Amino acid sequence: MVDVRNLVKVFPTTEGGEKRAVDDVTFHVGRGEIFGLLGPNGAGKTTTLRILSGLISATSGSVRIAGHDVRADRDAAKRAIGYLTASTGLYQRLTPRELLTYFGHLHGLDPADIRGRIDELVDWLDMHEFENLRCGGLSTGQKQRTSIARALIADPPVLILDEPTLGLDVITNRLILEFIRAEGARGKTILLSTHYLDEAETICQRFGLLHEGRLIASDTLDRLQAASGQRRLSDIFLALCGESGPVLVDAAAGPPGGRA
Amino acid sequence: MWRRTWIIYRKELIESLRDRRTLIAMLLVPLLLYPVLMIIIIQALQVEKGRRERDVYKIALPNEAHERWLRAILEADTEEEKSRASQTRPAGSIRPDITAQQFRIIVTHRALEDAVRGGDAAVAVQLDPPPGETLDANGENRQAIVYYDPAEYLSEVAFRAFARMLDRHRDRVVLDRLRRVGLTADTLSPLQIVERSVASPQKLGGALLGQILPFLLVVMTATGAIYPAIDLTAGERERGTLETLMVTPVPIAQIVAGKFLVVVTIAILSTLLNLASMGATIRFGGIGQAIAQSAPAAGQIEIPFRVLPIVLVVMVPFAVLFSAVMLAVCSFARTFKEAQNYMTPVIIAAMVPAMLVSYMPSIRLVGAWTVLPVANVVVLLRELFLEHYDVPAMLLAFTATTLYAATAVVIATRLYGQEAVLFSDVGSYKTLLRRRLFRPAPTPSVSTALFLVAVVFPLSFYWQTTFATPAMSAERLRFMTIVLMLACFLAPPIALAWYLKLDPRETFALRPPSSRAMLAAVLIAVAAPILALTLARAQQRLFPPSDEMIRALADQQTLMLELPIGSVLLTFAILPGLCEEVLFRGWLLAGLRNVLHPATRCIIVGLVFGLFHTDLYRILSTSLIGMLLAYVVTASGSLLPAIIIHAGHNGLALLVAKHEPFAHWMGVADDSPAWIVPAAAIVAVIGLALIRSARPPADSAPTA
Repeated sequence: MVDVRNLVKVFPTTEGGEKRAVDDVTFHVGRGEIFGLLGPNGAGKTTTLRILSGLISATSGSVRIAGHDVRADRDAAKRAIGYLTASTGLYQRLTPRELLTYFGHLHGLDPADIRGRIDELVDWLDMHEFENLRCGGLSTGQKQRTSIARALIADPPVLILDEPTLGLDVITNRLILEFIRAEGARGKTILLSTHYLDEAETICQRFGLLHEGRLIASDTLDRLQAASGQRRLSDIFLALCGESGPVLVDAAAGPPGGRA
Repeated sequence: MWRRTWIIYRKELIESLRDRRTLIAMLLVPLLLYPVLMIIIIQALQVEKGRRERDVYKIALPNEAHERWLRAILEADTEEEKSRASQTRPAGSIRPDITAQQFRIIVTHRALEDAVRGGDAAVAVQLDPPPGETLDANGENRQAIVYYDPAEYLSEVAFRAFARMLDRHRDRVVLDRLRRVGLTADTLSPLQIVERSVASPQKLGGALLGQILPFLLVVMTATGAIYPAIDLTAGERERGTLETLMVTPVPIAQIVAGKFLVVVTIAILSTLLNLASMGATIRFGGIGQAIAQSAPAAGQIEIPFRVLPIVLVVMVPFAVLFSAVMLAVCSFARTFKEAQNYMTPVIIAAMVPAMLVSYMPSIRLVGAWTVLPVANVVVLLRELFLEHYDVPAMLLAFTATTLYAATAVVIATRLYGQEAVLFSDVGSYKTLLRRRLFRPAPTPSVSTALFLVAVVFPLSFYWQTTFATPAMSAERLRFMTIVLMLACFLAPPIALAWYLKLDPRETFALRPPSSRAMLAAVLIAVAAPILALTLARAQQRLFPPSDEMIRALADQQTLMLELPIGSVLLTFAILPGLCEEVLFRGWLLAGLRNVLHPATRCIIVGLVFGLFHTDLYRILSTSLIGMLLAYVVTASGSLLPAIIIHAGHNGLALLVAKHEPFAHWMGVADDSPAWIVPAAAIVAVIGLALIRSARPPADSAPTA
């Protein structure tokens, strides 16, 4: 369903140098799988997912989503994707229903279908009481529900979720995790990035471990445990990336003066 | 395809109109500003008028003899005022003069300068020689030294009124003296000047409005567009909705188009509302009379309301231009605040030319003023108000603004999609301009191509109009042309191609042409001028040019031909052939290569080429030649045949003017053989067929 081969992304830096944010990454996610892309901040998770969603283009390598090449057939690939992050916003001066209608139109859906699909999502996500209020006045939980509905409006086979729970409160966090499980159960292919490894353990079936732009492992939890001799995902990560430096800094919130 | 642009447009417009801040800027400000401003102005004028009528102005005098002298004058003036009031004074004048009763005399022993400087009196007077004990003032001539403080408003006002009163006094004395020797006032006026204004009341009103309205309109349109431009770009990014929009299967160009149209709509709406509010306030609010009374010219004044619809039409490309520039600039900004900071220079860029032109009422819509961005719109608006309808110049200004607007739109589209602009963590937009980071590309993008053309266009025009003088020497004309060709047409595309690491071979079609193409070029080079000259003659017969234009063209040609023939051909045939081809059929044609169908591309390159000649009379023939040359380059894959045709065409046209026999054989003389033109047509068709069959090298096949 999602096929990534030899993906490379090089950014020019302001100082005049180059940064290899993604370095020769290859993985495959099958239909109905929940795949967790894990790693510390700056490992290249977000960049990888943005390339997959067609937001930025790769320096080299190829990405196929539901059989469509992201570079050659960007719009067809985008049609197969639902994209959500914890920071994606809503149009403050539209109501959830207007917002969903707008995105339904942008996905090229039929007006009649859009109405039916919104009714479905409003039922499923329990949005009745606020579907006709302006988004600007909604609570965090209501906003996240609207965002989820936005990502699902075209019922895409692939969901790309970049740090979907980053900075959310407990209740909203729970809402997102339930939504991921439910969509996984409905047969969606889900790509998820997070640096909360414990959370990933509970919902993902396979894991890709990213470190400094490189994919250092990509497998199920059982096999990763077997390969590393560790039980917990965070220990596995430390064991596999060999050098514990940057991960320690991240985990221990940084020694004095040590955080860049 | 445009369905989604429409969807985006509709949504953004709804969202913008639900925004209190947009509504305030667009609706409330124009609807309230002008009436309120008017009320304040009228009130202020009333207060000022009342003060003028009530206020008392002190006049300091050195002694009682002066006092007796002045009191007599004040009394006489009051008498005269009474008889004058009913006759000439317009009723309800805003700035009534100070009357004699408002002056109070004080006698001071201080120095008179000090009395005025210290504020004891508004003015002070000293007669030289001083008045005697008796009132013999009529008998001898004196100087009245009047002290006042021009930096103090009240002193200045009192001085003006006082001086006028002394003038009237002098007139009475003169009359008296005349009467004593048996003469009348007529002795002094052998010639009376009677003013007869030929301006219609509308024109007078237009002249008044033309001073201030264009400036206001330009500023209002620009400010109207600011808020949505920021909100739809930087605002959207700041709120985190940009990513959700960019992951939808909608091409960036359509997204930008939708947003851009919203900005234009709001800019135009706000112009419209401003115009309507201003018009209504002037019409019904009484400011019309106020303007009329303060007008220097005699006669009735009317506001020319009927030009307002045309004004609106002119404002459309301007609104488009500014909306696009703002969208492009805002695309760089990550936050709302940052975007607001970027807006300041843009607004200043609009205001400064608008203000300058407003201060220079002698500027007409000619020469460089027709193509200078922003300034041309302001001048054009003023011409409209003055009812100077120079349609070709107006069309040129309109077209130039449209060209700039189109360029700005293309650049905005390109910037909007840049990764460095979309995501702040992907790097800085500064990397967009760093040469070392550019990836080599075969040809310029459509935005860079148009950008350069839009910069070169006013530049070349400005150079020609400022350097050309009416009685220019041949050497000066040659120098002007050489600089124009090298500095405006040749150097910029080459420099930019180097900077952007473009492939010169692809960008300037530097391929060896096939021998067939070369043969075709020679054939067309000979046939083209015959056909072009015939076309020009036919056009002249159908739409005869003005005598002035014929003379100007003839003068220029005579001027050119004063130079040695080698120099003439080099400067006016070979150099333009090379330089203009590099810019138009090299750079511009290559830039349009990936976005347009070959035929469309040739037509556009031809039209831009025609526009550059800024001579609406010849625009048809130059555009056609431009299209032909674009076709030659497209079909042959090489610039060389186009250079040959271009240089050959110019050269032969010059030789026709120089030598009689040439005119005979080029079919333009009256005794030219009738078969020449059809023969030339046949030769041209053969040439084109040869070009068509001369396949371009495989690697240059245009990828449409």
